[in-house]
Amino acid sequence: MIKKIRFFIQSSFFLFSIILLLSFDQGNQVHDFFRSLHFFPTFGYLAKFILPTFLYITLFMLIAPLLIGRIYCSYLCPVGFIQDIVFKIIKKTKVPQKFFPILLFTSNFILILSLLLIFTSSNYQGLFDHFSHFVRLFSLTHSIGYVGFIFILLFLFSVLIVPIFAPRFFCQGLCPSGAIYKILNRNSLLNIIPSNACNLCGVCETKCPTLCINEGAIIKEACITCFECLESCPQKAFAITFKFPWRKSKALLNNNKRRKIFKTLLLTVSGLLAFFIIKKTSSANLMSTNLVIPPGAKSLKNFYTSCTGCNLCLTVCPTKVLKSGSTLNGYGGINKPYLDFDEAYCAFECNACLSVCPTGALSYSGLTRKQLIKIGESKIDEILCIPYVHKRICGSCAEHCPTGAIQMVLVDNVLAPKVDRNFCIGCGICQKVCPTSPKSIKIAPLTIHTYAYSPKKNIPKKPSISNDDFPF
Amino acid sequence: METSRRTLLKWSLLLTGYLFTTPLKKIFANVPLKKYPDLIAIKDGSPAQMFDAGIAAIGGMKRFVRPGQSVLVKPNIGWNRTPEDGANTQPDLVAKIIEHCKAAGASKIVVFDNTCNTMSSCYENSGIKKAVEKAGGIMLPSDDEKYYVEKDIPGGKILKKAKVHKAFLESDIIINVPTLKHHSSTKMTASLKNFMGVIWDRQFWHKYGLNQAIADFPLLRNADLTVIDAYLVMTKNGPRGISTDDVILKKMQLISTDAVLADTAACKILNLNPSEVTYLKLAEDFKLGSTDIKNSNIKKIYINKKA
Repeated sequence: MIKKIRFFIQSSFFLFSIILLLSFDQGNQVHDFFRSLHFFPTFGYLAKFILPTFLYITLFMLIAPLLIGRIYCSYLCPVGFIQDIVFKIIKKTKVPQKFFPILLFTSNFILILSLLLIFTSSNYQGLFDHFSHFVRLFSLTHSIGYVGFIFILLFLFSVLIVPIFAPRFFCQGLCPSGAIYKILNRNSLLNIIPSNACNLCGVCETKCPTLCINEGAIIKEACITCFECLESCPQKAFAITFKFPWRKSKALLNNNKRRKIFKTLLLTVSGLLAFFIIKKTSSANLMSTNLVIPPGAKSLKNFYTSCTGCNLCLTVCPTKVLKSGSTLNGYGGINKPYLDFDEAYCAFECNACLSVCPTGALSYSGLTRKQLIKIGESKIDEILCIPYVHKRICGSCAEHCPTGAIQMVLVDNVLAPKVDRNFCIGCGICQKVCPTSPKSIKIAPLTIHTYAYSPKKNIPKKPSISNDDFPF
Repeated sequence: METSRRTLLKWSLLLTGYLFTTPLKKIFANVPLKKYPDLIAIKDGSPAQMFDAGIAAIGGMKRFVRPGQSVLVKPNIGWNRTPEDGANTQPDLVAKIIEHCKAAGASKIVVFDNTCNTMSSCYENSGIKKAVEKAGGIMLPSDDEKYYVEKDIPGGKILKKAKVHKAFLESDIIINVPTLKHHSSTKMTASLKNFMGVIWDRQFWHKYGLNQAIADFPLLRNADLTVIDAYLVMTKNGPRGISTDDVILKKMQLISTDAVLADTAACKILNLNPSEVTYLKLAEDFKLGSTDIKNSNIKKIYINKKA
């Protein structure tokens, strides 16, 4: 029964996440709950001492294992679900499956590295986060660049191939949130302990989805508290008990102190080493770049120091103007998005990217506010522009301009476009629709985003009425 | 064969029988019995009301749509804007036209536009998708090159070839339903310019001469009926518009079989001299229609006329 309930909850949450991601169109916002699941990218907020409402959900989810164990991992996490499916399929074959204790070590390493990276100028932790990995899968149809592609491939390998031999490989060995959960779960109130009724029959050992039961004892670091062992035991020997961690018997806590200190030291040293290597090699130009960064980024510096490259904004962008920067701005800009206006534009009536960003790299603005955020400025190249060169009307740019920044004025008796800098917000639709090649109107990026003048100021809500008769 | 008295008798009997059983009307249905006005101009009603009155005056939808024919209704859905902004055709009007087509026995009524903003957002927010589906029409997708086929434009000066939406070529009847707007480059956009929404590569027109290309395209196929929606008229900052300040509520509508004539009348509504809108003259040179509004038979209808 527990098994079926677990499968039902897991699959419905999995489908729910997919539907939410795919149905994201202009206007609707992804639920804050969904945003809060990007555990590691949201830590960017913590590093800046900001606490948006959805972060409370994240914090609760992270503390929850102290009370109820790793219920998130076993019942909700879509990444865990994928691996459980693989495990279930493979279990029917004769492939030997085993739990590898070494994995607990590697996940600690990733955790330390991720925690250190939060406080640097290049937030890579989003590259390791489990939910960001999951979301990135849906950005496959977008321009993700080679770095994004490599990460997707690695992720797929670790959730589809490796779990054939090592169940829940990603959760045990690579997931930084899993590492936090593991540590908290060790000190959890909730314990599953076999009683004296256990006769070491070994049924639970084969039924456990993480294969973490060894001779009737649960390896608590690897346990995801799915409660399936309670059901599978023919003797009903497992019991749920609530005990404060300091009152636990020594047998429950793996108390090899020397070994523990050695492990911790090794981890810290290697984590620090990796951190310094990354810090040395990764440098993003924070002062100037030829890349246009998304609205809400405020400034180049704020953007590159906060964005974790989770690709969520890319996934929800309806016009696909957002592309992954790969390493266009050094290794520090790895996987961070930019806007490419040659084939797409930033839709005027859309604020999808800044309403989903889990890190605060793009801070939220309402639509009316977003429509004034100036991310760049269009510049006309009069050597290429058709009305200037061929003395022939074109006006493709002025036709599409949503703010009226581009107006057609008479130049040598031909209507030619002119840009009013005060109104241009750099949405790039002019560059997209320009028929010349190379484009004769281009967006020059701004290092620090500002606000444009509002074209709608002092405008009545209703149109004026005319009662004139037909002029013919 | 020699005609015997018997065969003569047989044939004459058959003929009289046929004449009695078949109403005369049916035989002469294709011959216009009455001369209709060249242009119907309607004022002071909702878009749907005005169309009801106008289509009756031009001979009813049955004059254009025969039972079993497929119809393309081509509104302007270019922008992700609401009906109040006046950038797209009024959804009520589109729905009304579809209802008339249905009543006339059309087998299939399709609606599409190659939009300037994202297709789904334009279809949704213009209110046209909802109105069309409620009225029983089909919204066709337009945002992929695969829906378009390359066609030669016979006699086109600049536009020799164009990738045209399949529905435009396959439908039996085309009803063009533009909305009247100011345009930054061509001064006005109405019926002729609305056909830019049935082709794939709009930028080509801009690149090689917009006015000539607009006049060239109808050489491939012209609309059977043109309904210009001048209910909310965008008088500046067109064709997209920026705020409600750009539109004026004029409550007008023009219906004609001659797109060029309808456009010429539309020019006047926008306070433009028809000579300012270059493509009208070019289209007239191709004999696509006439710009001679003074010598045409115009019928004006005033709904809610104060007695």
